[in-house]
Amino acid sequence: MRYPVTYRPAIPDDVDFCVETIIRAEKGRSDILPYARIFGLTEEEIAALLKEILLEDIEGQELALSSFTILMHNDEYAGACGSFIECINGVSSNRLKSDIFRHYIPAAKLEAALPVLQMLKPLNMVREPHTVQLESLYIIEKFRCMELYLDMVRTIAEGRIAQYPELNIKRSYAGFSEQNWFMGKAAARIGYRFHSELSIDNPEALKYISSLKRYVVMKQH
Amino acid sequence: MEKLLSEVTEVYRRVLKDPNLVLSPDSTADDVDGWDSLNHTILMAEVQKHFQIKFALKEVIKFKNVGDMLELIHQKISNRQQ
Repeated sequence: MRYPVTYRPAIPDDVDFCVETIIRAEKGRSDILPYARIFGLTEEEIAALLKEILLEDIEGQELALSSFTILMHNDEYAGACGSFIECINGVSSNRLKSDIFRHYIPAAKLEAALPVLQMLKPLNMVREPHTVQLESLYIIEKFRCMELYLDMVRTIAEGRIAQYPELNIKRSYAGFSEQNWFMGKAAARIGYRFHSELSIDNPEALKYISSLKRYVVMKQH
Repeated sequence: MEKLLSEVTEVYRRVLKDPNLVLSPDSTADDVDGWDSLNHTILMAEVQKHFQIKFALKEVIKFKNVGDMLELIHQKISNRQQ
């Protein structure tokens, strides 16, 4: 590999990098940060909220520090990726995130966002319990290459499966916006296959997100 | 607990616009039409408003069914009355 990396679980000192990872991954190739647009908050306010949420560390959804794996090249951050097991404690990740947002987002902002969230609902993945879910895939630009990206996806998915042998996990999933679909397609090289397409036919949604389509890939382990 | 269940059912019926909805302590989001993650946000806010209580995040994320919620509501109301 051009830049050999090591993988390790995130620790509290990594929280700012994990926030950066979420924000970069959410933005993709656009300047639109959906969380900021949806909740009517600035990027700085979202970053501060994400930091608090990550440190609260609620397992079973992507906005938890323990869901993050950090890629290091020598002593330098090379990237990070979130991953979790759907329904690990019997509650869906979508419901956990609802509870988290209700707790952290100011009530008036959340209430104002409800019609937008309703509009964006078709893009919500229905996640299969006891499967690995990969979210917020991010590699710092200077280390970016397909080889490292594929190594990251494979290593993190297999690592999560090995962490919970008692769950006998058989599948891992990742979702990509239309702009990042090339990454989903590239994952075919390590065994991922197209699983589903989620879409919205309302162009109004583009005020809040950068793409009206989302693709999901799945690997059978 | 039956009275609490009846009041929670009324809140759910109003939010989910389903006057015939029937809840039991074993009901989960999977059993109730419309109880998705978005409506969950509204349901929790309305339940708290109705009973004038506040769920902590660490409490609410543990709800696996309506019965878990009823237990917590009962506990919070009892604490308030002491």
